[in-house]
Amino acid sequence: MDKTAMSKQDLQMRKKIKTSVSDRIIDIITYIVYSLFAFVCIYPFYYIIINSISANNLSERGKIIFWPQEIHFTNYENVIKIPGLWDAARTSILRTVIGTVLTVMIAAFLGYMFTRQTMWHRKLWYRMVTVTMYINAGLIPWFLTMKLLGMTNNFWGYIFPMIIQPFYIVLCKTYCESVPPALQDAAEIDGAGTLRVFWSIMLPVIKPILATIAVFAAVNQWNAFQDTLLLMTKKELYTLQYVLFQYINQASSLKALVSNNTSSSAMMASLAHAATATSIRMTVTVVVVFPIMCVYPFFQKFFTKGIMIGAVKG
Amino acid sequence: MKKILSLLLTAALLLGMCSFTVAVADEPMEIVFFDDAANYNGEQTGWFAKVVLDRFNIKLNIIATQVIGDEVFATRSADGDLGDIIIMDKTKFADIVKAGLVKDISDKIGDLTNLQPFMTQIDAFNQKFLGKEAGVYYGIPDQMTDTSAVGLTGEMIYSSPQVRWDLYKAVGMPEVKDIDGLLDLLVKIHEIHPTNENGDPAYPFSLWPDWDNGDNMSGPANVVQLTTWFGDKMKGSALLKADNTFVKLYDKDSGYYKITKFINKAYQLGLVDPESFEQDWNALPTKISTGRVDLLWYNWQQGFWNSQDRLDNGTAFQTIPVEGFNFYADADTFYGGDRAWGIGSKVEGEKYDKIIEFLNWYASPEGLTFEHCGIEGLNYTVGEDGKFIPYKDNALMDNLPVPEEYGGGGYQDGNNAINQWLLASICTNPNTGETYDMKYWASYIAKNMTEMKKEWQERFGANDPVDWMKKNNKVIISPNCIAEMETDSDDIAVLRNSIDQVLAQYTWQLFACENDDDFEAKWDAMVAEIDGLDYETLYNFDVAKWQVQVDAKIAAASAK
Amino acid sequence: MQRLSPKQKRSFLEFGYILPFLIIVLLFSYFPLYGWVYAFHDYKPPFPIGADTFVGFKWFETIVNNPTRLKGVIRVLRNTFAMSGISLLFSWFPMVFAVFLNEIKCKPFRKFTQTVTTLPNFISWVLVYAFAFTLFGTNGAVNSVLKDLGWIEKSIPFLQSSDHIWFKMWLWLTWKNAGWAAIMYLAAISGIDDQMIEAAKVDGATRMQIIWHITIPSLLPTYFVIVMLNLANFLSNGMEQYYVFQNAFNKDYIEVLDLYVYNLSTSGTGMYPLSTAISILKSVVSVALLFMTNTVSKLVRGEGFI
Repeated sequence: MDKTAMSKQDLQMRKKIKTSVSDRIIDIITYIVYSLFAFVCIYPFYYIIINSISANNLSERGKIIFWPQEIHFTNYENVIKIPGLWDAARTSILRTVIGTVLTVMIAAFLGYMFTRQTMWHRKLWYRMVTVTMYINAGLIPWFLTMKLLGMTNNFWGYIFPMIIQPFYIVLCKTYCESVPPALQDAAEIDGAGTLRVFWSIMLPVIKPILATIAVFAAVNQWNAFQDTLLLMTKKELYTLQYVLFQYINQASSLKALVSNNTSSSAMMASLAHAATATSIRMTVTVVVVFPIMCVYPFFQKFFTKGIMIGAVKG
Repeated sequence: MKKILSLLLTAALLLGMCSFTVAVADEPMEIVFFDDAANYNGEQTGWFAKVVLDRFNIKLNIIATQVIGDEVFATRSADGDLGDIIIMDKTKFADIVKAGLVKDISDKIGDLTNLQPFMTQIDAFNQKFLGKEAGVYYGIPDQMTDTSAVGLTGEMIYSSPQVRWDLYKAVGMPEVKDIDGLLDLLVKIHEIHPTNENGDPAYPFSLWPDWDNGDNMSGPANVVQLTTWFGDKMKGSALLKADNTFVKLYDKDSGYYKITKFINKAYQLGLVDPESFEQDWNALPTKISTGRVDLLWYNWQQGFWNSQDRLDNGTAFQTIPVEGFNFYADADTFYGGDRAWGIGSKVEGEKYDKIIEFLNWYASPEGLTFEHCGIEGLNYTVGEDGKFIPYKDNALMDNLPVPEEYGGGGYQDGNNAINQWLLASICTNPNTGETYDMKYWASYIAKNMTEMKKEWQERFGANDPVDWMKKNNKVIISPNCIAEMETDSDDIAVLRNSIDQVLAQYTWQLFACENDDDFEAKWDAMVAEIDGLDYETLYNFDVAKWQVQVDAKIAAASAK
Repeated sequence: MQRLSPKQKRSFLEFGYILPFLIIVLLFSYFPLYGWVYAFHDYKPPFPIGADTFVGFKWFETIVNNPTRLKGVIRVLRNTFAMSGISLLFSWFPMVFAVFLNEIKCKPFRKFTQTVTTLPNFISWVLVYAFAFTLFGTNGAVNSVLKDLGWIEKSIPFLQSSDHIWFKMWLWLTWKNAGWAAIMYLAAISGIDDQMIEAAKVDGATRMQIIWHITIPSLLPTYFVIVMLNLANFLSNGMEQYYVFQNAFNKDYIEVLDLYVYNLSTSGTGMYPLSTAISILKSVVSVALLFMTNTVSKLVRGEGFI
């Protein structure tokens, strides 16, 4: 068979013929289904946005469904005015960048290393790492361990506990296993050591999964607040999510305030007029998601195009 | 790509390094509060911070478990260091004293000059509650008063039925004799007030589940807060009757059954907001402030509706005395409220001295004035006779700006975040002869004698609800006293939690029974299940535990 | 001392590369396991544990020794199995979602849809419920519209009843997670050799055939690994989702194990040993399931995944 001799025109004609009725149907169904899904996903977010900029009392009554009414930006102003917000944001960015880079590198490295059948007791170590996904020691021993290791009131307490993620390692390993061995063999014949193969051959090839892990890890780092809650008391180490978490809970601790029956009723009344908890949650959600959505498209392009540039020539 | 990565990493690391260099100048000393009462977590800012900084050169860092959760208690106590000043529930406080987390302050108790008039109470707490010998001091009760342990100060008790005065007038100001009478009143009110002005549906009852099983009472808050109308008070899982005997909570002659039936009857009559079963407390403030709830039963709920305008034009909520009720109310917190103050065991030296100074100021007239009244010239002014006159009493509500000498900013923003006081607001201010609480200033009372209030007084023949209750002998004042009670062992805790969960679930389902037969059947099913979970053991434990308190109260009552 | 062959040298060297990370894992994940000892004591913060608080297997027995409570636990397990079972049954959803998403020809629409479907992942469950309440509550938008149209007389209690609660929970879960989980599969798809696809097209394959014979088989390794890892997590459904949706009327069906443990520990202290005991049991079951699944995988597919 002489495929290579076929002219470009012939190929294109064949392609056209293949765009048959069944193809069209698939297209139409796909567009409809995904449009519906997109709507179902974006409407709640739209709902959150319009509610956060509409008058709080209208929002609480559930009146804002399609359009914002009595637009105001006080909710956002209040969030921006939270003391320590910008310092916390900077800390968050720092931990996200450092944490993500390290998580991705480690996941890739360990994922690749665990494919090396020649490693001493490979299976044992691999199992040792994966099993940690399912065992939970409990809050108090975790905290005491952190204290022992000096992770309290220490920026590295945000990093070390989170950079070895078995799930990502498994993903990387699976991905590495689907890379044609010919690629690795070629490099090794050329005299490359394990590290070299990893850095120069594997890493470029598994970019899509790395981008995926980067997104997952970055979001985890960005959203984490429980570690701040338990490990940090110095406000220089507060992260954005923690500051916002406090802010949300202060608003909804109206409940706590009112159950304290010895508080003055003036206090009650004042809080009655303050921003309602749900509006605050919505505003905070938008504030937190906005930076993520800004950065996301940058990663998206890594897992939406093929990059297997024929490294193996026939 | 790799170059970019490494560049990014280095830049991030460098940035990280420099932001954590510490600048040490004349740093104010940081005092860490472990505060179960606070609603704000973090460093105190604003005018109160300035007041404290100017006097003591300290800054307050508040760890608020109500904001960030209870786990920090477990982790910090496992670590041995809760904080510098500890404010927590009395019973928990007793535990941490036993565990050695609280400092012995016997040596400096004399330095707390402003608390010397309250030594009776402080002694009672340390000896009776904490079980220490005379002369040994670990803790100080919160909110002590200088009134009496069997007295009741105030116009309203904590839980009583309240409806809108204008609606009450519109249905003819009927006499409400008992709980069925109350139901009739609500039916009439619902008829004339089915929606609020915006057309949103309004109901007498709007309920919420998230406070269930709290405040040491098993069962939905919407039930157990109301059993007090019959003089029955839930103590844990046991029910204390007005004659100081205990019965099981499912006793059909008692408050729990009666109130659950009351709410179910209301449901059958269409008086219960159907969203009650899906919403949580967050929905309520808005509903109350937009007039969608016709019956209130906490005294502070009025704050959501009773603005000055409404007080003036008679559309505010007022208590409706019910003849057949026998209200239960706690007396003034002479011996202190539910919490206690202590100093952390790791505190010593200069910090210890500073804290004692601070606490003494906190209990001084100057400190108390800041805590309960606010800033002179803003919240109040001083009249010629030296008494206080309310000035801008919306300073808190509207977050008014604070004078420059206090550092500016908003009043609410800078308000005291500790949210707990050594002495209650009904104590007398030696500088004015009146209490710290604005509600009892002569100037305030004069200002607030509204038309509506006069009508109420005429209708019911008393100055205010508490006055009516006292005159007609419809209130049981439970004396304030100190009694050390057992804390739950782990077994009891598990038992309590399982029973609480089942109790709450069944009771909510009971609210929504369609007819009385269903109700009785479900009631019996609930009793069977609770008994099956060994309610007997829990009940006996609670009776033994609370009996101690009951005995102390009987003693206090007969002593006076 | 025997001289190591180059092969052995390499073997140890490779181990050496991962050793630092193994140490971190030991320190941060295995060392804290000493805390499991709390499950064998009567621990009540702030009192430290010691010889006098030791109670052996008491907490484990508490779970089963009371018949009424045992009924409750069985009910909770039934709910957990149901929820996990449904999730497992439909675990292929994100994969298929990714596959057909990739088939969308219009690139801007494809990118837009992909981005937008990840948004629900960022909305906390608390907010999801607030939104659900406005939409599906008794006075919510859906009921109002249906009443206005005259299709129903009384509001449908979407949120209150326990009808189809497992399915409803699965719907919410999918809505929230599918788009996010699909990212993994999209990454795998983008790694498929274009030449293979071109060759197939030239051979006359339709789109469905390409999907069936090339795309999906390339995704299967990832899919199986994820499914098997999730199988080991059968007992963990998470707590938040079920917590926000629970009420007295659907509790019997919505309360999964994680929520049950949370509900029990609402008093804060005093429940720590019991929740630790349950946590130990869950861990043991999960690890057992993990290895069992691995064996099954070896028998069925010829290879394990760990």
